[in-house]
Amino acid sequence: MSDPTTHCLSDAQLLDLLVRPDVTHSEHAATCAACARRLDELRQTWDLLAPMRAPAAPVDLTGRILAAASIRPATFPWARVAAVLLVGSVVGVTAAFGFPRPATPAPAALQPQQVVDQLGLDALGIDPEIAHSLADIPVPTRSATEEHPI
Amino acid sequence: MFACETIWHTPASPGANTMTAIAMNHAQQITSTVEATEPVVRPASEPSDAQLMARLARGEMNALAQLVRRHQDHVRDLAGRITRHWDLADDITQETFLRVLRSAPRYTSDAAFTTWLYRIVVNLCLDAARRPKLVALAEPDPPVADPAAPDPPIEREERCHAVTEAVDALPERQRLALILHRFREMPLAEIARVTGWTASAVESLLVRAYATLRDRLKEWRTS
Repeated sequence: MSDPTTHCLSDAQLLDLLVRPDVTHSEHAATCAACARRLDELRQTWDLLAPMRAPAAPVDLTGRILAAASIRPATFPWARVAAVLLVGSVVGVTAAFGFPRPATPAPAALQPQQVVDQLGLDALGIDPEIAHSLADIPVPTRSATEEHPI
Repeated sequence: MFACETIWHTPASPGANTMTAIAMNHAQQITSTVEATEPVVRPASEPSDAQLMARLARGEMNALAQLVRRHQDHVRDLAGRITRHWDLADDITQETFLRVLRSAPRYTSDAAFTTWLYRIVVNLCLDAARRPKLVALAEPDPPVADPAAPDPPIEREERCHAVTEAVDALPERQRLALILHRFREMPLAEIARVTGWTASAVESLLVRAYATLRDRLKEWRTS
């Protein structure tokens, strides 16, 4: 690495010196006739281009920019995409497997003796053998009764 | 002190300037000055550009409003100098901030915000210059001399036109490098980041640009 205090400045260093102060490079340019001349030539041309002004911006430029921005989505609509995918998957699953129904417990099968007791066959004086055979007759379940009320 | 205020001027001869530009030729009054880029020291209460970008990425649109108010003059100034058409510069300014908005979720503060911002501007300007319809209509806005300059108006206008023609006659890459260096006061490394060129290429372009201008403006430089 060359010592900037003893070696002449590169073109890049001189050009940067015009826009950003650098103490070391400035000190060198102040003591080196060759660099001082190169820097002076650059600065004369630099000064010739100055000052530069821009016409005033339209009064409503800021509002125009913000209005244009407000009609565009601020970011990629991940939330919307996720919502659409979720709804789509629910609809798809539903279409494939049908709507789930609330689970109703299947009526427990009654034991023959329970049928006898519930129907009061003993009180009717029915022969226990007949009562026993009656107990083998399938007893309508609750749901079947509701579907076909007597 | 020199009087020339702007460098927007019709090239001396067709094809003399490779930086094509666009239509809508109209003169506007000079009413404002846009300072070149300088390191900005903001009050601690003011959010940094990176903080505003993070807020914008979360969808806070008032962060965009702050960025626009903070940078729109510089963006427009750069676009106007490159394209030499202020109506187009207004459009490019708007599109620049729309791209900022769209890119906010992907923005990383590895580089300075302004470097990233000016890169967008430069790309938009170069894209605009390539549009065939606009190239056909290309006639830059005329230069306007500084009414506050101390020298006589006629000399002021002549100098302004001479500088304008000399700058406009530079090859496109030289002119772009010169604009970023002289009017945005960017160091070479930052110009390289904005343009995507190598630092040595930027150095070479600027050396040739300043040498050409020094030669062409010899008369004005010595007067």
